[in-house]
Amino acid sequence: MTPSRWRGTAQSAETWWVVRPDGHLAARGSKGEDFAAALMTAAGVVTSDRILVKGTHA
Amino acid sequence: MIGDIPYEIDWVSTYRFHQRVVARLRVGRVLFAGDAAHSLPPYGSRGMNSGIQDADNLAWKLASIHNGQAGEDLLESYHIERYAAARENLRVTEATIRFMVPPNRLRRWTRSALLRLSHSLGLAQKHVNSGRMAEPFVYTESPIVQQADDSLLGSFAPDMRIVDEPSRLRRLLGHRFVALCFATTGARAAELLLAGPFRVVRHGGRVACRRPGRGRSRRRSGHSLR
Repeated sequence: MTPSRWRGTAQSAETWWVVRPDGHLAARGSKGEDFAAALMTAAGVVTSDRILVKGTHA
Repeated sequence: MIGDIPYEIDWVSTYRFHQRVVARLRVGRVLFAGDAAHSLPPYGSRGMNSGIQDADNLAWKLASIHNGQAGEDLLESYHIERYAAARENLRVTEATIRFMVPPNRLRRWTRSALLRLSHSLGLAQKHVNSGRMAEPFVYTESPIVQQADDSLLGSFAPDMRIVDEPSRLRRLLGHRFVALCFATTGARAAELLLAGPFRVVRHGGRVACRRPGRGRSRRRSGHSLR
């Protein structure tokens, strides 16, 4: 992957990314109000009933 | 494999290896990683790399659970993400094995032809499979990775050189969650600086801001980008 791939994400509008501690990209968005929910999901805080209990995907 | 050049064989031996993966990397409170979870042929440095990536994937999840930030269900994502990575490693190394040790005469003939052609034909070189180097797996099917039409999601963050300082983006990541924001203007980056403990970096004329994320703090994380 090259830096140009980053540039492609930033050219048109402001973009945020959630980067996990292992360096993987977990979520992206452009609205600030969406960030908190994305972070909670990526961190496993929003768990269980909906996502992880049965190992199924959201 | 070495082509049409003179060579001398000094030593010949039989080399056996296995390729297998456990059915589940998580069984209750037991977690399998590295060689305990998967056995891979030695092509592409996948055994060591995948073992390190298992640990990297698991460490932050265990820490989150230990610190009370996430429930044990988070560990299910370890199985989902790393089991898929192990299966992919098996798929890739199996293809290498089929090339290195052709199972029948037709494949052997094909391999010989490809090797001959590879000296002069670039297209043929692409099909010479002496081992594909390991790359970080992309967690596209993970329940904790956003499902959207973006090939970067789930991948290892692309690195980039940072202008004005002798560093690279990946050196600024790791250890904790990070919010990485690409601002469209310098003025917007300045706004973000006022909103929270962001750090502004530049690359190629673009501005990126990052701040350490805190999985526990919904309010602070949400407000930081508003």
